[in-house]
Amino acid sequence: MITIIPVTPFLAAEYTLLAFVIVIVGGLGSMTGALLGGLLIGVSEAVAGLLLQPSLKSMVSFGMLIAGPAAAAAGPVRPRNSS
Amino acid sequence: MTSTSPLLAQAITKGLLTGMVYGLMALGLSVIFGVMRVVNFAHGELMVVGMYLAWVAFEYLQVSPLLSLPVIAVLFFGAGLRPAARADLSPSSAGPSISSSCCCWAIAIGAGQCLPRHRRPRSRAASRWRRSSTPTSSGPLVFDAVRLHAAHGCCRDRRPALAVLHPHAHRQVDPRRRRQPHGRAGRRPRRAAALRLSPSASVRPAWARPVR
Repeated sequence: MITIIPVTPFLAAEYTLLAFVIVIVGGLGSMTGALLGGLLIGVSEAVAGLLLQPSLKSMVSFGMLIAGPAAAAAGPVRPRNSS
Repeated sequence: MTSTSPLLAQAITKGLLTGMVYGLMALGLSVIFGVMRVVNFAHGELMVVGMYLAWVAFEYLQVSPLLSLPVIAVLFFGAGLRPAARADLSPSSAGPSISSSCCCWAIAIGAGQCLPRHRRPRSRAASRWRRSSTPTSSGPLVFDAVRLHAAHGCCRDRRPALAVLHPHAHRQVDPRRRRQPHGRAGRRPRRAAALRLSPSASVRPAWARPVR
């Protein structure tokens, strides 16, 4: 990742949180879910940075963190837990 | 809208490519959670330590980050083997444990403080290497070469590599079997040997057993 982003020590907490968001959106313990969640978060961040504000992209991903499990719990289809 | 549609397509492309990098990042966390049942709070910190190592290797030794990547991975594996075998980061079937997560958090804080921030925190980038890898363009879209490499690695079938690295990655871990990472009785941690006295107690780590 050093090749695509400049590294500072303060980057760590941000990426820990981002990885958490992706893992929870994709389903805990599911490897395919983690990859698909990464795609989802990446696209939503890029599109939100273009359409809304670049500083609002974290808000979109955290909103997905809240909305995704809430919608999955409320809807008829429960997420498949592969763990 | 016609003026923003190439921008939107570019944003979606970049988002897909960045998302594959994010997916690889989250895959690490997911594998750690699936195998060890530990929520690794130190994931980003260890990633940043790895990035700093790659930067040091590039800046001072002129090693390409793609070449130093497997070396750093093996280095981290060796560095984490002994503490993971000794500490409470061992796998337990009792679900995600609080004390292992707190241990990870402590590692995170320690690693974050040990990183070079005594001077003005400068952002470090392997920019010369990045300049040498030219982006690919198709029509109005521009693809970053590094992200394309990562996407290629992301889309490949990872199961053979994971099976070589960890044969139980897809299965429920048997804690009694995972407890001996070295395979030799002499190098086994003492607490693991004590835990094996009773088969029911060996499932849980020492701190999680009921007090008698």
